[in-house]
Amino acid sequence: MRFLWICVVKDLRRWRRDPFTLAIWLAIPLVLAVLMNVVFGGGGNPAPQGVLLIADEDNTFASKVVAGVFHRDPLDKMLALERVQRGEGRRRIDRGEASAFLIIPAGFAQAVNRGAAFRLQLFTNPSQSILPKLIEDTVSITLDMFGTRRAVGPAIGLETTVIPEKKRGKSFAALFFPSMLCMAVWMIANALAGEIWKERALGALRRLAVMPVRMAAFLAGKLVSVALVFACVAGTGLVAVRWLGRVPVASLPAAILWLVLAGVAFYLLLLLVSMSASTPRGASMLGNLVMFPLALVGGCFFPFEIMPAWMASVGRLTPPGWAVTQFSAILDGSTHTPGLAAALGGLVATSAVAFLVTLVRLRRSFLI
Amino acid sequence: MRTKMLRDALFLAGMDLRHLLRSRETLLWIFVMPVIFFYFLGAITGNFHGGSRDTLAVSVASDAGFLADEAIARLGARDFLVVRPKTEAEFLGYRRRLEIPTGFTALALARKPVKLHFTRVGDDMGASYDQMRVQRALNTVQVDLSGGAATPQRLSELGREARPLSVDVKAAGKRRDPPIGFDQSVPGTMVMFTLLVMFTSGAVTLTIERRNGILRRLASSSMSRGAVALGKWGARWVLGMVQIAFAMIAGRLLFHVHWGPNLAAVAAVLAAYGALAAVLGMALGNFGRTEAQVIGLGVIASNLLAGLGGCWWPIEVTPVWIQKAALFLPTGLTMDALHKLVNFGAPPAAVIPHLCALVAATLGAGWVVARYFRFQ
Repeated sequence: MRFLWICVVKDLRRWRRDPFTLAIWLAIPLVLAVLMNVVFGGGGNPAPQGVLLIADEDNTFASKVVAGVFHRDPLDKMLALERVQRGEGRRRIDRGEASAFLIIPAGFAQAVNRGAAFRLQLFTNPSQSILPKLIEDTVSITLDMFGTRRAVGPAIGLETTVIPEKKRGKSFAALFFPSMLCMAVWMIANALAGEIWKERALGALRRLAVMPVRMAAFLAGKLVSVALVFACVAGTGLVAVRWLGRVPVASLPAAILWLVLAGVAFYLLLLLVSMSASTPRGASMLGNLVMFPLALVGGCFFPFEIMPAWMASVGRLTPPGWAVTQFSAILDGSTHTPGLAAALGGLVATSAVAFLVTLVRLRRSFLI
Repeated sequence: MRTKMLRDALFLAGMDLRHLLRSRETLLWIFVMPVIFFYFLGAITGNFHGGSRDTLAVSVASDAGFLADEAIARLGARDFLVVRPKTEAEFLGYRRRLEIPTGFTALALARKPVKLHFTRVGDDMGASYDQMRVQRALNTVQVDLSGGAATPQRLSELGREARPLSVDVKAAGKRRDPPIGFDQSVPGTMVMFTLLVMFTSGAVTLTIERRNGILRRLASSSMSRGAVALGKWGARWVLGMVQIAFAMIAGRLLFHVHWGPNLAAVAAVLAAYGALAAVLGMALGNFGRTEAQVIGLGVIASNLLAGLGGCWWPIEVTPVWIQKAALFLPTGLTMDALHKLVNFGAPPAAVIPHLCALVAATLGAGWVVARYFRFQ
């Protein structure tokens, strides 16, 4: 037990001597949280924002109705309207300075009154996909309304009922944060796993082999120090997620516990991968080759909700995918004590098996 | 004197490039990882946009008549994926539900009031948009009906005809469809990976050479500080160009990405971007103390610049101030130039400001690196 403690202190001292590296590990979830907050806003939902240029050459009540639609909520929050002349509008949309440019030619109101054919012109920004479509739909709907007003006979009415959801849908930030935090843990686990090669290169492992101490205590000491790093990362990330991203965290202790245990399991798995290489550079390459594809398919870069169905079902079966799924459930409070206990049990069991296999590998062939 | 400096720089660049290209990690990040990321990100973003047809469950009364079918066809034209559930329980499971009442056609033809019921679960921003789209589909039926079309065939014909009042939509540039899927993911990922490789492999090799004393040995040679810095930069820049060329070819051959009508201008922008990324990577390697520091900072900085520069998501989803600020970032500036050349089909002159900014930033950062280059 004393040797285990010595190993923990040794690793902590090593990291303390290079505090910048530790700060970078802590910064990864923080930076991601800030980035999400900046991009998606405090509410956590992305609202596309752009500029609509309008050249109103008709300048009548009818043309003002078309332009006025964009002053209504929620369009006014997404689009800034700018009135321009035709030439200036064309120049600006050609330079990509707006999402779309709408021209209402003279004679629009007359055509509306006569029921004659008339076409407005809309030039869209070809590098954007969301706002131009929204603008096109809105203009088309407004034009149809003019047509309906001329229709004879009783309207085909539409009665609408909007039912608020009992459980609020997840915001974009709430969808992305669990993935990003798990990605940070997964990446840090890979970096920490690669450090075993330093111990080997410096002869620490060989010296250990000739000392009257147990290799299991050394590995356990590593796990404790790694767990402390993950606790710091998880705490920082979750606090940032809660206060910057305004993502609800149903149970902070359970979320931290899950991330720490998942991080330790990731560490052991990636340690095995690292130790199966023949050189430190090979280990780094192998680690990246395993880590990135699994992170991609395992929902660490994009949440499963927006993946193709086949990719999501494969991804949920991977270690990071499982961790992300359970972590999301812990954050939104949809997991219950028995379910959480079973998941934690599974994680501990996986880690125990990985610990034993790593220990065997460490004792038999990796030392030399 | 200047000739000797250039000869030394060229020699060093060649040696360094050979060394960098022998590293398996570098090869992995140049030739393997980008393709994996292109595929995954393209598949995901393609799915994201392809799934934009919202499902609408429609319940039709048995004697609703032919107008119900016409209304359903026009709802389909409004980007709804219309489904007709067999049971009420199944119908109630959908978030968007439309009920077409009994005697719908008979009442409408007799010009009597008739009401359809639309239910939307969730009071988010999309609810009013959904309502507008349903209303629009029904309005067109009503307008055609009032115009005297009382037969299914005539209504169907009118439904296909252009509306009297319509909007003529044209893309401002040469591209007709906005870039989604691989067209969006490949350029963004390429820009991000160039930065990532320069900020990690490009930077950390400098740190390793300093730790191993290679830079000290170079300092004791007859090479000038400028020649060493230029040589190191040259090797990294060529490495970045190899990466960019491979990504462009892989994007074209494997993912059918169109690079627009001005390939030379695209190459010039990417060459300038590669030069800036190489010198920034060198700055990181020059001022970073340990390998872990350099790699950690490189990963964070490249991801941050990629996110803010519009490599991960379309820049239009970000607030306007970020869209403007992105033009001051290497990633944002490059993505903007690529949009202009590839999507707008703009002439090369349109990206001259971008090129000037990238070259000026490269020269500025290059001067700092050369001035403060650390041999130990």
